Amino acid sequence: MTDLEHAPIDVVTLAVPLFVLLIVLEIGLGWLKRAPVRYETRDTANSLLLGLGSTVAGALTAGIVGGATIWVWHHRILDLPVTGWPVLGTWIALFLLEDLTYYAFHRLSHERRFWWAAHVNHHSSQHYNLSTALRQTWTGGLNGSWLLWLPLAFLGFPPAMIFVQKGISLIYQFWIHTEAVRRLPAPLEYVLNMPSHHRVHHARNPRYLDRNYAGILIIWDRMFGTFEAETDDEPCRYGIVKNLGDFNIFRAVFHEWWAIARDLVRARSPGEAAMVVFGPPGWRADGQGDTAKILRARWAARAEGQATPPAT
Amino acid sequence: MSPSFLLQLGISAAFIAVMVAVTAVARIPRATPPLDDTALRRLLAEDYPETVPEAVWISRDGQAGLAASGGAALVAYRLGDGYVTRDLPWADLGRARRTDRGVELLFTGPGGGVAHLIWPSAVPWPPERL
Repeated sequence: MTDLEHAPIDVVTLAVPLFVLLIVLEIGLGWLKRAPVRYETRDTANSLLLGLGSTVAGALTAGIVGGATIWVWHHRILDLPVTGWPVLGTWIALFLLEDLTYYAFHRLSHERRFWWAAHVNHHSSQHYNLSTALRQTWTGGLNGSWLLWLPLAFLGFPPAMIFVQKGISLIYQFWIHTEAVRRLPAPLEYVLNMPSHHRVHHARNPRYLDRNYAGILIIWDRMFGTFEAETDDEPCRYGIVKNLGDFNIFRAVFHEWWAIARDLVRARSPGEAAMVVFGPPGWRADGQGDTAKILRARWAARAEGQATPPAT
Repeated sequence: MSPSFLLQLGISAAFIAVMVAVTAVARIPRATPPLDDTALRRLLAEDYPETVPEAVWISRDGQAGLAASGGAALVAYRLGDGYVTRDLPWADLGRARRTDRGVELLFTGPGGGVAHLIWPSAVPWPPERL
């Protein structure tokens, strides 16, 4: 195995002390009443344990993911520069394409139930603080979402670079899970995914549902029409459309898989079964399900009704 | 799993214990005042914006509430420093388990949850809708 196939360092593991320090700092800011930071003990325990469980689950599938990436790279179509100054161009191209891949993965993870089932635990907290960032998936390695990164290897980006860049993206996304930072200068807010953008992403208010999928660059949402700015008129309410009823960590991980299985048993045709699995979360055969699209449309209709004065 | 990975897991678990302890000591949850009629209606309006409760009842400890809306019962109960809402057919309220202090509504779906309503034994359950 060469250095190009296997990342010499796990950047996420290296960043763990930084995660711990920043969480302690955020708690300190809340304790000193310097920032609107809120932590609930059981919620925090769940977030941290979900992060720990995710590393175990990731280790179980790492061999398959790594092996597949290396195999695809051996069948690459380009030999990209990996030494000297030209490697800078390779890194810039990888940064952009990996971030675009993340956008696609993240959008899929919200708009199709099979992938949402693995991602939902990241959104299941009613809190939004740095510990929420560590609520990572346990089942994401099983639903094949990692396949989306294989085209990067096929293009010629070495697996080691891909894994490092994925790690950098994950580390970047940690710090934006906070209410302690309101807004940053407009140029940064225009280009980068910022705490205000990601608060919207974690909000369950209908107007904010399925918005701001970005990893590092918010420009993808602006380009593909999924951007929504945070407005002070409507504070974010965090969690999922139907919040979980307890702090059972296994419910957080598996509840949507359970719901899919239940709905599959009730499905009356193969087409309905396909929609149960691959349709949008909340889909119902009668068209009245609580999908993000329907909830947003109902919200828009209510908002329009309130804005329009009654006819006299 | 390699010994180094297990060591990493052990250290992580220890850190988690410390972080949870720090959170507990800091005591910075959201303020969660007990429910009253207004708070319950506001809560339900967020999760069920197209329903208008005809009547509401508040658990005596303010930690849960019940509303009637058409054929549905809307329930809100405290979880941690927030509230969770659930809906069920009004007719199903009769299946609630009676406890020493009131009633217990168990939600058996994937989202789970259980609402405890402190309910005087002299008051009928389900409540009468006028």
